[in-house]
Amino acid sequence: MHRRYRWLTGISAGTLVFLYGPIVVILIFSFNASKISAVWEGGTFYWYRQLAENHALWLATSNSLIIGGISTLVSLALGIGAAVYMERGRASSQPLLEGILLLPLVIPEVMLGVALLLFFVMIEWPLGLATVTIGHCVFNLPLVIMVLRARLRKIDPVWEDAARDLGATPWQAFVHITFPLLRPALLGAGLMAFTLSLDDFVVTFFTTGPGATTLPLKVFSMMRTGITPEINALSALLVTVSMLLIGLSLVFQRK
Amino acid sequence: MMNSSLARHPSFLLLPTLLLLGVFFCIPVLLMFGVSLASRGLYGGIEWTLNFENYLRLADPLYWNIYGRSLFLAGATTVVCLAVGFPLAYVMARSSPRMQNILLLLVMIPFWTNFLVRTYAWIFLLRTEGFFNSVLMHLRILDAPLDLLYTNGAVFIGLVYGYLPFMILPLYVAIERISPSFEEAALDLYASGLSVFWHVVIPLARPGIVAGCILVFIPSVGAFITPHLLGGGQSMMLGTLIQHEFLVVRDWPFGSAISFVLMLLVVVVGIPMFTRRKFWG
Amino acid sequence: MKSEKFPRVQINELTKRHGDTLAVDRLSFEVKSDEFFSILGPSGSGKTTTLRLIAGLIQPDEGDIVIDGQSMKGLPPNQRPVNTVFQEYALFPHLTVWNNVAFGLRMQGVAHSEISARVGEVLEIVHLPGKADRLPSALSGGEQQRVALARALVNRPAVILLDEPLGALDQQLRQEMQRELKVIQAQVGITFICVTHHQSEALLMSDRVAVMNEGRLMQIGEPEALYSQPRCLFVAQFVGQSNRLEGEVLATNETHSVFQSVGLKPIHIPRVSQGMTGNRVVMILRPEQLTLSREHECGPTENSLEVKINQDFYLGDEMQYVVTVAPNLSWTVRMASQPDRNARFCPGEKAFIRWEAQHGLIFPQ
Repeated sequence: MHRRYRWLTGISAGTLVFLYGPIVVILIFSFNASKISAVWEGGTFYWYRQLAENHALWLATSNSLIIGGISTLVSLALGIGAAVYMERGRASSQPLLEGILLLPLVIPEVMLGVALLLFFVMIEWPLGLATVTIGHCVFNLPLVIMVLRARLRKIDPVWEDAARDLGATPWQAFVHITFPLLRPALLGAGLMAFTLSLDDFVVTFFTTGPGATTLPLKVFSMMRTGITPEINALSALLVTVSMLLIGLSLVFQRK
Repeated sequence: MMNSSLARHPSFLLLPTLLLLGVFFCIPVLLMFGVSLASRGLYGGIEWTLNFENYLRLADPLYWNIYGRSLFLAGATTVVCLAVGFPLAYVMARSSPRMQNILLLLVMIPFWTNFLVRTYAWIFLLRTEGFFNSVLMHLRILDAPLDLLYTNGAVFIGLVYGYLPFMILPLYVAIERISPSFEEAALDLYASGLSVFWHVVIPLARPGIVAGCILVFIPSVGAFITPHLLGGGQSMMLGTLIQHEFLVVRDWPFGSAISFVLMLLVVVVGIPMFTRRKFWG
Repeated sequence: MKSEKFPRVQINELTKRHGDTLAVDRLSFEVKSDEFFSILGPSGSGKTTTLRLIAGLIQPDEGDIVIDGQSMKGLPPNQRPVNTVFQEYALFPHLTVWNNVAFGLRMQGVAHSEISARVGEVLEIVHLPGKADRLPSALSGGEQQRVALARALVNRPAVILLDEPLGALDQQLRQEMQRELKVIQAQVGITFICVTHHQSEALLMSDRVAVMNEGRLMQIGEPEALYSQPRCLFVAQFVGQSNRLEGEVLATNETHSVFQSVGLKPIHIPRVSQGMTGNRVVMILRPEQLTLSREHECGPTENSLEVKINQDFYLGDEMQYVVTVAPNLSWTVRMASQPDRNARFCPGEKAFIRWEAQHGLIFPQ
């Protein structure tokens, strides 16, 4: 058995190096003193200080947080109702509904982006924070519903029946039984949606307008104007934030 | 028999979701189909005609190399992700529970790391003044820098790098469910290490293989960020072509037609697979 | 070719460590050809580890396994003349019964015509000819068990290893399969080594049984010997039901010894060596060797104690009584059940138990 493992372990180690090598290089070079070259010329925190002083970046960050927060809350609020309806409602399956809930998740993002762009331009809705937030809701809502439904399927409806048998109204059964059991999934889904929203570039790119620059858009425009160590520093920060969010979701899952 | 307590819950639970997705997803997609039947106005606007010219234009040999490149790069990405991801997924699934958690975390971190940042890393590595060229020239292996960025190869590496976690996770879930006793039984029945893989592990991991391939192929074929940043104008793919038609040429009807055909492709290939309960575990 | 010069399987000083614990500790025994051999022990006794060592799924830290005179040292499972019937069977779920059974032959590159002949023949032996095209999931537990056996048999190995082969079956099917396994083994003449924690199963099926505990071999022998002449307290208590009494050897003469337990009158036991006088020992008595009666008198070579009937269980052909011998000391008595209800004993009743002194099994504590 162990002999069989050895070469597999070798390949796996190589794969992990491939996954992490580029990120590690970026992390290291975010501390590089040289402005132009990818050759190490001594350590500095200069680029991080530059970032801190970049007001446009702070604005983009606050836009990202607003869009992420609103789209996550809206998706959770609407998603919980839809998930409960679909898993606890009439047994007949609704292929059209399932399709509509799945499609935004599986089509390449560009398509969702251009369809929304077309729509907003046609109805003459000015592009901005609102249109971006709506775009994010369109991919976050199906995701939240999927996670919540998976969880609901594992929660035995017998408990809700028992609560009803003991005199609870459907609403009370939901509040006292289903909701508490669903809470870890709600937190997990919320964190996933928020992360996805913070990271999204494509849909944002097509639905954004004046004053609605998000963090990824800002990174993108910095990359277009020239590769500077400042981008390395920003990338390093974004990687760190992602890791923190994963850590947080793991902590929630434990509870 | 008693109904589930929520069985007769009114559909107002579903209504807001239907409204949001109906207005902001279904209508835009239908609108896109409508626009794909119109023609481009003189100054980039839309002229409402009813014809299939845009779909006929798709057959123009001008675009063949873009289709070819998209399908080829997406196919190659899928195959390489499978080949590279399978050993890691297998080792993950057969590790001690503690090690499994660590490896799972190691695969999840790139999965949740900003895609733009991960693509940027390859720009930093591959460009003319980039990391690889600097290192190779510093070591005097190269005299002049190589053109690594803005090539099909760069797009290919970027796609593999970007979508590898999408392959590993479903594979891991599938392999983890295969009891090790099947492998022991095969060894006991005279199979060599390689035949155990071929006759037992791979057939039993098939649901994961199919899921992983679809999860990699679909976003690869319609990828936008990777070909845009790593391929530049040299290595256009379907995703960049759509963006080009919409934002540069401003031929919305034609862009809509490409987009709509690609969406049909996804629906035909992907939906039957995704709607199986088994797929999501 | 069976060679009578060598035993079929020889286990020499086999040792396997799991971390700090010794899963198998200097284990040595031999299995003859054509033998149905069982390894019996509680969970954690190292019996499954031993089986996996023989199969080659794990390698020993020390010692060797010799099959037909050939050392198995370093040989992977696919190069050993051994096949396993796995616990829960491990039937490949994506292959039909026929393909499951043919798997081993295919891997060895046996010709197609021979494969179909041998698979057909072996499915006949396990009484499954009609199910060849089914998937394992479409079979009952008993049928799956037969396929797992067929999959091993078809390769005609020197030895077939069975890991808790009947553990997944319900009681009735279990008893049926116990007999059938034995019949099939006699029919094909292949050595079977079976691991089980079920003592009645081991006694019923096996020609010989090895009892293991904590990685060590406790006793090896025919089922009858294990039951009637256990060599240590562990075997006495693990094989069959037993009543236990702790005490001290008071005295020994030419014919017997005398044993004293706190709160009871002196008891005659088989003769032990003079040197044991004054030692603390444990006496074990089998429930069926006790007789319950309302009369006090007993024979000269018998012991008798007054007891209180605590519980009675009617088992059809026999009765089981739980009796209180002393405070905090309960024994079980098994007797043929009397057809007359009034002749039976009732809970709460006082009675006497009797047994032949020679039936007491004495072990140092």
